[in-house]
Amino acid sequence: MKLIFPMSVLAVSSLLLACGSAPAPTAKVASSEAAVRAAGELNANDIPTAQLHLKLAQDQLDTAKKLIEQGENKRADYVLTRAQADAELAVALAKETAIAKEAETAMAKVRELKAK
Amino acid sequence: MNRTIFPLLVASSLFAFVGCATTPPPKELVDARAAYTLAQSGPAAKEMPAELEDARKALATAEKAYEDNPSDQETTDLAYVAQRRVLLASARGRAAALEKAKIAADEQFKSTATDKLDQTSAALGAARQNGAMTAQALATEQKARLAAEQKVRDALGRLAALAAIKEDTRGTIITLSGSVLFATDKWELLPGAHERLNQVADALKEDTERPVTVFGFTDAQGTDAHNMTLSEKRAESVRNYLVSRGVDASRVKSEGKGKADPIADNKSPEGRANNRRVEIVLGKAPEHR
Repeated sequence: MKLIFPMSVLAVSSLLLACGSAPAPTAKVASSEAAVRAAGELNANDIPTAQLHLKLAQDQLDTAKKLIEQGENKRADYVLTRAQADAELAVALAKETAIAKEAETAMAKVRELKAK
Repeated sequence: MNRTIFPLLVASSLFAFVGCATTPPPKELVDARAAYTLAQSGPAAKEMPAELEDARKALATAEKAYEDNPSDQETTDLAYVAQRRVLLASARGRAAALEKAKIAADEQFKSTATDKLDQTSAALGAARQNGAMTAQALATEQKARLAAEQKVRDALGRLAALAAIKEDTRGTIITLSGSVLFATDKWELLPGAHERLNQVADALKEDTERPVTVFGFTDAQGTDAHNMTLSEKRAESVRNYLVSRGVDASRVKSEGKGKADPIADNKSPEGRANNRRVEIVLGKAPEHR
Protein backbone atom coordinates (compact mmCIF):
# COMPACT_ATOMS: atom_id res chain seq x y z
CA MET A 1 0.00 0.00 0.00
CA LYS A 2 2.81 2.35 0.90
CA LEU A 3 4.37 1.76 -2.43
CA ILE A 4 1.25 2.22 -4.50
CA PHE A 5 0.96 6.00 -4.12
CA PRO A 6 4.43 6.95 -5.34
CA MET A 7 4.09 4.46 -8.18
CA SER A 8 0.76 5.89 -9.28
CA VAL A 9 2.23 9.43 -9.13
CA LEU A 10 5.06 8.25 -11.35
CA ALA A 11 2.68 6.61 -13.76
CA VAL A 12 0.47 9.69 -13.96
CA SER A 13 3.35 12.08 -14.33
CA SER A 14 4.93 9.94 -17.06
CA LEU A 15 1.58 9.95 -18.85
CA LEU A 16 1.48 13.70 -18.51
CA LEU A 17 5.00 13.90 -19.84
CA ALA A 18 4.11 11.81 -22.88
CA CYS A 19 1.17 14.00 -23.80
CA GLY A 20 1.85 17.38 -22.28
CA SER A 21 5.53 17.71 -23.21
CA ALA A 22 4.60 18.39 -26.86
CA PRO A 23 2.31 21.39 -27.19
CA ALA A 24 0.18 21.68 -30.33
CA PRO A 25 2.47 23.17 -33.06
CA THR A 26 0.00 25.92 -33.99
CA ALA A 27 2.70 28.34 -35.17
CA LYS A 28 4.02 25.71 -37.53
CA VAL A 29 0.53 25.06 -38.89
CA ALA A 30 0.20 28.76 -39.62
CA SER A 31 3.57 29.02 -41.36
CA SER A 32 2.92 25.87 -43.40
CA GLU A 33 -0.46 27.22 -44.44
CA ALA A 34 1.17 30.48 -45.47
CA ALA A 35 3.75 28.62 -47.57
CA VAL A 36 1.00 26.58 -49.26
CA ARG A 37 -0.92 29.78 -50.00
CA ALA A 38 2.18 31.45 -51.45
CA ALA A 39 2.77 28.49 -53.75
CA GLY A 40 -0.86 28.68 -54.88
CA GLU A 41 -0.53 32.38 -55.62
CA LEU A 42 2.48 31.67 -57.81
CA ASN A 43 0.33 29.29 -59.89
CA ALA A 44 2.32 26.31 -58.67
CA ASN A 45 -0.67 24.16 -59.66
CA ASP A 46 -0.06 24.97 -63.33
CA ILE A 47 3.59 23.98 -63.17
CA PRO A 48 4.11 20.21 -63.18
CA THR A 49 7.28 20.20 -61.08
CA ALA A 50 5.79 22.51 -58.45
CA GLN A 51 2.35 20.91 -58.53
CA LEU A 52 3.56 17.64 -56.99
CA HIS A 53 5.19 19.35 -54.02
CA LEU A 54 2.24 21.65 -53.46
CA LYS A 55 -0.04 18.62 -53.36
CA LEU A 56 2.28 16.83 -50.90
CA ALA A 57 2.39 19.94 -48.73
CA GLN A 58 -1.38 20.27 -48.74
CA ASP A 59 -1.91 16.59 -47.90
CA GLN A 60 0.63 16.65 -45.10
CA LEU A 61 -0.85 19.83 -43.70
CA ASP A 62 -4.22 18.08 -43.54
CA THR A 63 -2.63 15.02 -41.93
CA ALA A 64 -0.91 17.20 -39.33
CA LYS A 65 -4.17 18.91 -38.40
CA LYS A 66 -5.79 15.51 -37.82
CA LEU A 67 -2.81 14.40 -35.73
CA ILE A 68 -3.15 17.52 -33.59
CA GLU A 69 -6.84 16.73 -33.06
CA GLN A 70 -5.78 13.26 -31.93
CA GLY A 71 -3.20 14.77 -29.56
CA GLU A 72 -0.29 13.42 -31.61
CA ASN A 73 1.49 16.77 -31.44
CA LYS A 74 5.02 15.44 -31.72
CA ARG A 75 4.22 13.48 -34.87
CA ALA A 76 2.23 16.45 -36.19
CA ASP A 77 5.29 18.64 -35.72
CA TYR A 78 7.36 16.38 -37.97
CA VAL A 79 4.64 16.12 -40.58
CA LEU A 80 4.38 19.91 -40.59
CA THR A 81 8.13 20.21 -41.11
CA ARG A 82 7.72 17.99 -44.16
CA ALA A 83 4.72 19.98 -45.36
CA GLN A 84 6.58 23.24 -45.02
CA ALA A 85 9.63 21.89 -46.86
CA ASP A 86 7.39 20.81 -49.74
CA ALA A 87 5.52 24.10 -49.84
CA GLU A 88 8.73 26.12 -49.90
CA LEU A 89 10.08 23.90 -52.66
CA ALA A 90 6.87 24.41 -54.66
CA VAL A 91 7.32 28.19 -54.30
CA ALA A 92 10.94 28.01 -55.47
CA LEU A 93 10.05 25.82 -58.47
CA ALA A 94 7.21 28.15 -59.46
CA LYS A 95 9.52 31.16 -59.22
CA GLU A 96 12.17 29.35 -61.25
CA THR A 97 9.66 28.64 -64.01
CA ALA A 98 8.54 32.27 -64.06
CA ILE A 99 12.09 33.63 -64.29
CA ALA A 100 12.92 31.03 -66.95
CA LYS A 101 10.08 32.40 -69.06
CA GLU A 102 11.29 35.97 -68.53
CA ALA A 103 14.84 35.03 -69.48
CA GLU A 104 13.64 33.23 -72.60
CA THR A 105 11.54 36.25 -73.60
CA ALA A 106 14.51 38.57 -73.07
CA MET A 107 16.78 36.35 -75.16
CA ALA A 108 14.17 36.03 -77.89
CA LYS A 109 13.96 39.83 -78.04
CA VAL A 110 17.71 40.05 -78.55
CA ARG A 111 17.61 37.39 -81.28
CA GLU A 112 14.76 39.21 -83.00
CA LEU A 113 16.55 42.54 -82.85
CA LYS A 114 19.77 41.07 -84.18
CA ALA A 115 17.93 39.41 -87.04
CA LYS A 116 16.54 42.80 -88.16
CA MET B 1 28.66 -21.46 -16.99
CA ASN B 2 30.36 -18.12 -17.54
CA ARG B 3 32.48 -19.64 -20.24
CA THR B 4 29.53 -20.50 -22.43
CA ILE B 5 27.49 -17.40 -21.76
CA PHE B 6 30.19 -14.87 -22.71
CA PRO B 7 30.74 -16.04 -26.30
CA LEU B 8 26.99 -16.29 -26.76
CA LEU B 9 26.55 -12.76 -25.52
CA VAL B 10 29.27 -11.55 -27.83
CA ALA B 11 27.75 -13.42 -30.74
CA SER B 12 24.26 -12.11 -30.10
CA SER B 13 25.45 -8.55 -29.65
CA LEU B 14 27.45 -8.86 -32.86
CA PHE B 15 24.36 -10.17 -34.56
CA ALA B 16 22.37 -7.26 -33.29
CA PHE B 17 25.06 -4.84 -34.46
CA VAL B 18 25.22 -6.38 -37.93
CA GLY B 19 21.45 -6.39 -38.10
CA CYS B 20 21.48 -2.75 -37.22
CA ALA B 21 24.07 -1.75 -39.79
CA THR B 22 22.44 -3.65 -42.60
CA THR B 23 19.05 -1.93 -42.19
CA PRO B 24 18.85 -0.43 -45.65
CA PRO B 25 18.62 3.37 -45.74
CA PRO B 26 15.09 4.65 -46.32
CA LYS B 27 14.24 5.68 -49.86
CA GLU B 28 14.06 9.30 -48.65
CA LEU B 29 17.70 9.21 -47.57
CA VAL B 30 18.82 7.62 -50.83
CA ASP B 31 16.94 10.32 -52.75
CA ALA B 32 18.40 13.06 -50.58
CA ARG B 33 21.96 11.82 -51.14
CA ALA B 34 21.43 11.62 -54.92
CA ALA B 35 19.86 15.07 -55.00
CA TYR B 36 22.78 16.52 -53.06
CA THR B 37 25.36 14.94 -55.36
CA LEU B 38 23.52 16.44 -58.33
CA ALA B 39 23.16 19.85 -56.68
CA GLN B 40 26.88 20.11 -56.04
CA SER B 41 27.58 20.24 -59.77
CA GLY B 42 24.61 22.54 -60.50
CA PRO B 43 24.27 26.33 -60.37
CA ALA B 44 23.37 26.22 -56.65
CA ALA B 45 27.05 25.66 -55.77
CA LYS B 46 27.93 29.02 -57.30
CA GLU B 47 24.71 31.00 -56.94
CA MET B 48 23.33 29.76 -53.60
CA PRO B 49 26.25 28.39 -51.55
CA ALA B 50 24.65 29.24 -48.19
CA GLU B 51 21.43 27.43 -49.05
CA LEU B 52 23.34 24.45 -50.34
CA GLU B 53 25.31 24.40 -47.10
CA ASP B 54 22.04 24.41 -45.11
CA ALA B 55 20.89 21.48 -47.22
CA ARG B 56 24.16 19.67 -46.57
CA LYS B 57 23.63 20.16 -42.81
CA ALA B 58 20.09 18.83 -43.09
CA LEU B 59 21.42 15.81 -44.94
CA ALA B 60 24.13 15.28 -42.28
CA THR B 61 21.46 15.39 -39.57
CA ALA B 62 19.48 12.75 -41.45
CA GLU B 63 22.61 10.62 -41.88
CA LYS B 64 23.29 10.88 -38.14
CA ALA B 65 19.71 9.88 -37.37
CA TYR B 66 20.07 6.92 -39.71
CA GLU B 67 23.24 5.87 -37.91
CA ASP B 68 21.56 6.12 -34.52
CA ASN B 69 18.02 4.97 -35.31
CA PRO B 70 17.99 3.54 -38.81
CA SER B 71 14.38 2.47 -38.88
CA ASP B 72 12.82 5.40 -36.99
CA GLN B 73 10.10 7.45 -38.65
CA GLU B 74 12.05 10.52 -37.54
CA THR B 75 15.02 9.40 -39.64
CA THR B 76 12.76 9.14 -42.67
CA ASP B 77 11.26 12.56 -41.93
CA LEU B 78 14.71 14.16 -41.60
CA ALA B 79 15.83 12.59 -44.89
CA TYR B 80 12.58 13.71 -46.55
CA VAL B 81 13.12 17.28 -45.40
CA ALA B 82 16.81 17.16 -46.32
CA GLN B 83 15.96 16.14 -49.87
CA ARG B 84 13.51 19.07 -50.15
CA ARG B 85 16.17 21.44 -48.81
CA VAL B 86 18.60 20.22 -51.46
CA LEU B 87 15.99 20.59 -54.21
CA LEU B 88 15.14 24.04 -52.87
CA ALA B 89 18.77 25.16 -53.06
CA SER B 90 19.01 23.74 -56.59
CA ALA B 91 15.84 25.49 -57.75
CA ARG B 92 16.96 28.79 -56.25
CA GLY B 93 20.42 28.34 -57.81
CA ARG B 94 18.89 27.78 -61.24
CA ALA B 95 16.56 30.75 -60.75
CA ALA B 96 19.52 32.98 -59.83
CA ALA B 97 21.43 31.83 -62.93
CA LEU B 98 18.35 32.48 -65.08
CA GLU B 99 17.94 35.91 -63.52
CA LYS B 100 21.52 36.72 -64.49
CA ALA B 101 20.91 35.44 -68.02
CA LYS B 102 17.82 37.64 -68.24
CA ILE B 103 19.70 40.72 -67.05
CA ALA B 104 22.50 39.97 -69.52
CA ALA B 105 19.95 39.58 -72.32
CA ASP B 106 18.30 42.88 -71.35
CA GLU B 107 21.68 44.60 -71.39
CA GLN B 108 22.47 43.05 -74.73
CA PHE B 109 19.11 44.18 -76.06
CA LYS B 110 19.80 47.74 -74.96
CA SER B 111 23.31 47.84 -76.36
CA THR B 112 22.26 46.14 -79.59
CA ALA B 113 19.37 48.54 -79.94
CA THR B 114 21.73 51.45 -79.30
CA ASP B 115 24.22 50.06 -81.81
CA LYS B 116 21.46 49.60 -84.35
CA LEU B 117 20.29 53.13 -83.74
CA ASP B 118 23.84 54.45 -84.06
CA GLN B 119 24.33 52.46 -87.24
CA THR B 120 21.06 53.68 -88.63
CA SER B 121 21.68 57.31 -87.81
CA ALA B 122 25.25 57.02 -89.09
CA ALA B 123 23.97 55.49 -92.30
CA LEU B 124 21.32 58.17 -92.49
CA GLY B 125 23.91 60.88 -91.89
CA ALA B 126 26.21 59.39 -94.50
CA ALA B 127 23.36 59.10 -96.95
CA ARG B 128 22.37 62.71 -96.35
CA GLN B 129 25.95 63.88 -96.72
CA ASN B 130 26.34 61.77 -99.85
CA GLY B 131 23.14 63.20 -101.22
CA ALA B 132 24.31 66.70 -100.45
CA MET B 133 27.67 66.01 -102.03
CA THR B 134 26.11 64.47 -105.09
CA ALA B 135 23.74 67.38 -105.47
CA GLN B 136 26.59 69.81 -105.00
CA ALA B 137 28.82 67.91 -107.41
CA LEU B 138 26.03 67.83 -109.96
CA ALA B 139 25.40 71.51 -109.56
CA THR B 140 29.09 72.31 -109.88
CA GLU B 141 29.41 70.10 -112.90
CA GLN B 142 26.35 71.55 -114.54
CA LYS B 143 27.65 75.04 -113.93
CA ALA B 144 31.02 74.09 -115.42
CA ARG B 145 29.29 72.58 -118.43
CA LEU B 146 27.19 75.66 -119.01
CA ALA B 147 30.25 77.86 -118.67
CA ALA B 148 32.21 75.71 -121.12
CA GLU B 149 29.36 75.78 -123.61
CA GLN B 150 29.15 79.54 -123.29
CA LYS B 151 32.89 79.86 -123.89
CA VAL B 152 32.64 77.66 -126.97
CA ARG B 153 29.77 79.79 -128.24
CA ASP B 154 31.81 82.94 -127.65
CA ALA B 155 34.84 81.45 -129.41
CA LEU B 156 32.71 80.25 -132.31
CA GLY B 157 31.17 83.68 -132.53
CA ARG B 158 34.62 85.14 -133.03
CA LEU B 159 35.36 82.37 -135.50
CA ALA B 160 32.20 83.02 -137.47
CA ALA B 161 33.90 85.88 -139.25
CA LEU B 162 36.50 83.48 -140.62
CA ALA B 163 34.59 80.22 -141.16
CA ALA B 164 31.10 78.94 -141.82
CA ILE B 165 29.58 77.49 -138.71
CA LYS B 166 26.41 75.47 -138.46
CA GLU B 167 24.75 73.06 -136.08
CA ASP B 168 23.32 69.73 -137.04
CA THR B 169 22.67 66.38 -135.40
CA ARG B 170 26.39 65.59 -135.30
CA GLY B 171 27.15 68.75 -133.35
CA THR B 172 28.80 71.98 -134.43
CA ILE B 173 30.30 71.98 -137.93
CA ILE B 174 33.07 74.43 -138.73
CA THR B 175 33.64 74.54 -142.44
CA LEU B 176 36.89 75.98 -143.82
CA SER B 177 37.43 76.57 -147.51
CA GLY B 178 40.15 74.40 -149.05
CA SER B 179 41.53 77.32 -151.02
CA VAL B 180 42.22 79.21 -147.83
CA LEU B 181 44.07 76.28 -146.26
CA PHE B 182 45.94 74.53 -149.07
CA ALA B 183 47.56 75.17 -152.42
CA THR B 184 46.18 73.11 -155.32
CA ASP B 185 46.93 69.40 -154.89
CA LYS B 186 48.93 70.03 -151.74
CA TRP B 187 48.22 69.19 -148.17
CA GLU B 188 50.71 71.47 -146.43
CA LEU B 189 48.89 74.30 -144.70
CA LEU B 190 49.25 77.75 -146.15
CA PRO B 191 50.59 80.41 -143.80
CA GLY B 192 47.24 82.19 -143.99
CA ALA B 193 45.53 79.08 -142.66
CA HIS B 194 47.30 79.28 -139.33
CA GLU B 195 45.40 82.32 -138.12
CA ARG B 196 42.03 80.68 -138.70
CA LEU B 197 43.06 77.33 -137.31
CA ASN B 198 44.49 79.05 -134.23
CA GLN B 199 41.05 80.43 -133.56
CA VAL B 200 39.48 77.05 -134.22
CA ALA B 201 41.96 75.44 -131.81
CA ASP B 202 41.12 78.06 -129.17
CA ALA B 203 37.44 77.35 -129.58
CA LEU B 204 37.98 73.59 -129.36
CA LYS B 205 40.06 73.96 -126.22
CA GLU B 206 37.21 75.75 -124.43
CA ASP B 207 35.35 72.48 -123.99
CA THR B 208 37.69 69.56 -123.64
CA GLU B 209 34.95 66.98 -123.34
CA ARG B 210 33.56 67.22 -126.86
CA PRO B 211 35.13 64.96 -129.48
CA VAL B 212 36.52 66.50 -132.65
CA THR B 213 36.68 64.95 -136.12
CA VAL B 214 38.37 66.63 -139.05
CA PHE B 215 36.92 65.65 -142.44
CA GLY B 216 38.69 66.38 -145.69
CA PHE B 217 36.65 66.79 -148.91
CA THR B 218 37.63 67.31 -152.56
CA ASP B 219 35.70 68.19 -155.68
CA ALA B 220 34.81 65.55 -158.26
CA GLN B 221 37.74 66.19 -160.55
CA GLY B 222 40.59 63.69 -160.73
CA THR B 223 40.59 60.04 -159.75
CA ASP B 224 38.73 58.87 -156.69
CA ALA B 225 41.87 57.30 -155.26
CA HIS B 226 43.82 60.52 -155.63
CA ASN B 227 40.97 62.55 -154.16
CA MET B 228 40.65 60.14 -151.28
CA THR B 229 44.37 60.27 -150.50
CA LEU B 230 44.42 64.06 -150.83
CA SER B 231 41.42 64.49 -148.54
CA GLU B 232 42.97 62.15 -145.98
CA LYS B 233 46.29 63.99 -146.00
CA ARG B 234 44.59 67.38 -145.74
CA ALA B 235 42.39 66.26 -142.88
CA GLU B 236 45.45 64.89 -141.13
CA SER B 237 47.37 68.14 -141.63
CA VAL B 238 44.59 70.10 -140.02
CA ARG B 239 44.37 67.61 -137.20
CA ASN B 240 48.12 67.76 -136.59
CA TYR B 241 48.04 71.53 -136.54
CA LEU B 242 45.16 71.63 -134.05
CA VAL B 243 47.03 69.19 -131.81
CA SER B 244 50.15 71.32 -132.10
CA ARG B 245 48.02 74.22 -130.87
CA GLY B 246 47.16 72.37 -127.71
CA VAL B 247 44.03 70.40 -128.57
CA ASP B 248 44.27 67.02 -126.83
CA ALA B 249 45.33 64.48 -129.46
CA SER B 250 43.05 61.82 -128.03
CA ARG B 251 40.03 64.02 -128.75
CA VAL B 252 40.78 64.58 -132.41
CA LYS B 253 40.39 62.15 -135.28
CA SER B 254 40.82 62.81 -138.97
CA GLU B 255 39.13 61.25 -141.93
CA GLY B 256 39.32 61.69 -145.71
CA LYS B 257 36.03 61.69 -147.59
CA GLY B 258 37.25 62.30 -151.15
CA LYS B 259 34.55 63.68 -153.41
CA ALA B 260 31.75 62.38 -151.21
CA ASP B 261 29.06 64.56 -149.67
CA PRO B 262 29.36 67.56 -151.99
CA ILE B 263 27.76 70.73 -150.68
CA ALA B 264 27.64 72.41 -154.10
CA ASP B 265 27.46 71.62 -157.81
CA ASN B 266 30.73 70.16 -159.10
CA LYS B 267 29.95 71.40 -162.61
CA SER B 268 30.75 75.03 -161.87
CA PRO B 269 34.08 76.36 -160.71
CA GLU B 270 32.40 78.07 -157.71
CA GLY B 271 30.67 74.87 -156.79
CA ARG B 272 33.87 72.88 -156.99
CA ALA B 273 35.63 75.54 -154.88
CA ASN B 274 32.94 75.13 -152.23
CA ASN B 275 33.24 71.37 -152.28
CA ARG B 276 37.00 71.53 -151.66
CA ARG B 277 36.84 72.03 -147.97
CA VAL B 278 37.65 70.84 -144.48
CA GLU B 279 34.89 70.28 -141.95
CA ILE B 280 35.75 70.23 -138.30
CA VAL B 281 32.95 68.53 -136.43
CA LEU B 282 32.74 69.36 -132.72
CA GLY B 283 30.66 66.50 -131.43
CA LYS B 284 28.30 66.53 -128.47
CA ALA B 285 29.67 66.06 -124.99
CA PRO B 286 29.15 62.51 -123.76
CA GLU B 287 26.18 62.08 -121.40
CA HIS B 288 27.36 62.28 -117.84
CA ARG B 289 27.17 60.01 -114.88
